[in-house]
Amino acid sequence: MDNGLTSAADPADIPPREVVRKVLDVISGRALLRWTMAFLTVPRLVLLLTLVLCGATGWWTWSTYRYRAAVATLEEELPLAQVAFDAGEIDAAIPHVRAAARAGRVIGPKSVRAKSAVQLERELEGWRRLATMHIGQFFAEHEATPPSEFAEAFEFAFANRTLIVDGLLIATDASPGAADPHVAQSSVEYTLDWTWIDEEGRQVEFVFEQCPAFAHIKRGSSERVILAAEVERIVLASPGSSHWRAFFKPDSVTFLTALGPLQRAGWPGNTDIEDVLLEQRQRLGINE
Amino acid sequence: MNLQRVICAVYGVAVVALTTFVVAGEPLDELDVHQLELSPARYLDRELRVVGRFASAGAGKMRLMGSKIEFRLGPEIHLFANPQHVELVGRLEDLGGKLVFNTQRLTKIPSESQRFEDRKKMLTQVNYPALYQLSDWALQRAQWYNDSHLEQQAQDAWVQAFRWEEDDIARRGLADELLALADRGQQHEIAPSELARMRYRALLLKVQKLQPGDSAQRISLAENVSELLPGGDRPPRSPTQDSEQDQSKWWIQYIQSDESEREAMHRALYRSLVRDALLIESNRIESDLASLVRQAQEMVPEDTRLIRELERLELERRAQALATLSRRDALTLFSQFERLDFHDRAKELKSSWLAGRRLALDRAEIEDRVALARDYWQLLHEAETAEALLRESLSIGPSPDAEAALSELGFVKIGQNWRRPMDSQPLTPVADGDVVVGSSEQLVIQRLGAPDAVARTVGAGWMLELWRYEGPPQLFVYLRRIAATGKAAVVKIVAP
Repeated sequence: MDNGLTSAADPADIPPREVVRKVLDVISGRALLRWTMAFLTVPRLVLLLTLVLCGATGWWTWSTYRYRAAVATLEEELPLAQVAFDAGEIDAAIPHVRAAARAGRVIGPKSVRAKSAVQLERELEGWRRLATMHIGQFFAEHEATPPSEFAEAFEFAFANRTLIVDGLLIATDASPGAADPHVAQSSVEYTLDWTWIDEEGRQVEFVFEQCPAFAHIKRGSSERVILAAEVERIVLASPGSSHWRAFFKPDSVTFLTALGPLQRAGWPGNTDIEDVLLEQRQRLGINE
Repeated sequence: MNLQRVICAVYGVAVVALTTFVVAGEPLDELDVHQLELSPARYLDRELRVVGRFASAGAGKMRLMGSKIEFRLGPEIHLFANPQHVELVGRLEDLGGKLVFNTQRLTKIPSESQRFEDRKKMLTQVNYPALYQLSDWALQRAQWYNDSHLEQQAQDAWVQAFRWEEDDIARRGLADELLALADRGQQHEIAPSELARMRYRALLLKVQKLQPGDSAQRISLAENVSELLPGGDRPPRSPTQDSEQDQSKWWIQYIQSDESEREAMHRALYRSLVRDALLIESNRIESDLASLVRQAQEMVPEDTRLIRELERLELERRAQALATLSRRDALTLFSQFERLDFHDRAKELKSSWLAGRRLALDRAEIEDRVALARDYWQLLHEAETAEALLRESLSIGPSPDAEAALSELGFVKIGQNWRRPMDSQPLTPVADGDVVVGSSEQLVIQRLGAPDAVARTVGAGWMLELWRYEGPPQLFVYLRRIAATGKAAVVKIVAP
């Protein structure tokens, strides 16, 4: 029956060559181009540009407002945070440090004060998540724990908890025989000169592996550091031995820069600590 | 032709001269009037040439001073006014017991002093015998005429001849002759200082001729110095250190010195000879060095350096048998070396002696080790060796003595380990109170010194410090620091 309308061609009626051409059009974007050219009439183009301009203006206005607000917040909160930190009042510093750090992240790392605020927040988190049990206690409590359960118990007690360490960090080869200086620095691991040995001869040492924060400490050299880091895991140095190696999370390493909390924790007062902190501030680029 | 004339002329002159000499006869010797007076018979009836001092004249006669002979002057003799010193040629005759000199010629001559000076001018230094003769000539006349001036001239000439002779003898290196000359000078009342100078010179000549290695010769010469030279036998009041000086310069220095300095130089010469002699003797294997020390103390007590050196040699000889000496004798030997200020040598010998004892130690001997350790500490202050020996003793078996010795050396027992005190601290005996769990950090520092390294870990409410002592033996001291008080106490001590 003919209803006056052109009846759609049955796909089966389309010749195979036409099908191939349409596919190639779509693939090559020629179809899209034809459609776009057909869509972008002049009235439509003017309308579109107007919308983009309005959107950009709105975004800029909001960003500017947000930046200015962040600057104002930083100016207000950072001194308060620093005062609290200098006094070693961690809890009192929390709201100020967090507000300042938020503002700092808005302002960006080009601002030293913004970087300081973010750094303070990292240090704050370090101080807030300190391990409650010390190594000696842990060893005493797990005197009879078999080695197979020792690692699990250790991780339960210390994993994701922070330790503040102050000592010499010694860069050594991660694998024996890799003493070649051309071997990548990433194969270097950093051992803290703090170790615990119990009456049974069990020993644990603390190790940082592949830690970008220590890239400046070259293989075979050492440097005194004061930092906070989270314990990640503990493994036996070799099967059957009693020598354990506790590894820190590389990305949790936070160099400490504030003296107040250290003094509050009981650090003996002497100038060499201040020298270390100053050096670390300089390395982080927050020494004003 | 000309040559023949010259030869003839020379020949003629020679013939004339010879003839004149033969005709004139032998020239007359000058005879002084006092010589004539002494033995006139010897000169009778001979033509004489007599010189003397004019006394008086008159009536064809003349007298000479100091003479009884009558000098008759013929009419042809012209008498000078105030002739003073005259020469008369004539013949002496004995006329019935009276001596008469018939003068044929009278001449005025210079005085004795003048003639003396003229003759003296003609003498050179090498001709000192002639000067002696001239001095005698002048002295005879001075005594005859009682002329003090001439006598002084004679005396001066004698002294000058004496010096010329001294120089001549010294130049020929004849020391004994020079000493004899000095003796002769003593008889002629030469000044004692001059005689001492000559004898010193003579003895220096003898020193130059000394045979190397002849100690007896030197001692003999030293005795000569002591006898002959003033001050040679008198030691100075204070110890003397002679400087090393070239012997060839001694004489120059001597003649430039005053009398007191010369006495010191006499003693220095004596000292030098004795020193050389004793050192030569000391080099002989069979010599008795102790006896040489006593000899030096007696002969040259002021030469402390020589005495010290001989004492040292004596000690060195004893030290050759050090290994066989008893402990007491060895200690005495060391102290004697130290008394002489040979501290380095004493230390060297102590070290050698102790090393020998150490080598001879029995493998299982404890007591000897402890005793040796104590000696190492007491004699050499070698704490390390003493420590090693004491530790060896303890490794052999339990020894309260070894532990006590370690404690005396300042070591501290921590657990089963004896901890070496810090090097910077003096090793002093320690009081009670070892480092244990609970000890304060002050006590740890007091007992063990400042740590070699400190590391800390901090958690919530706790701080653990590791104080590392590198030792040996290595030691870890763990302290827990309380935040509230800031004080730390030991929680664990580990000797890895």
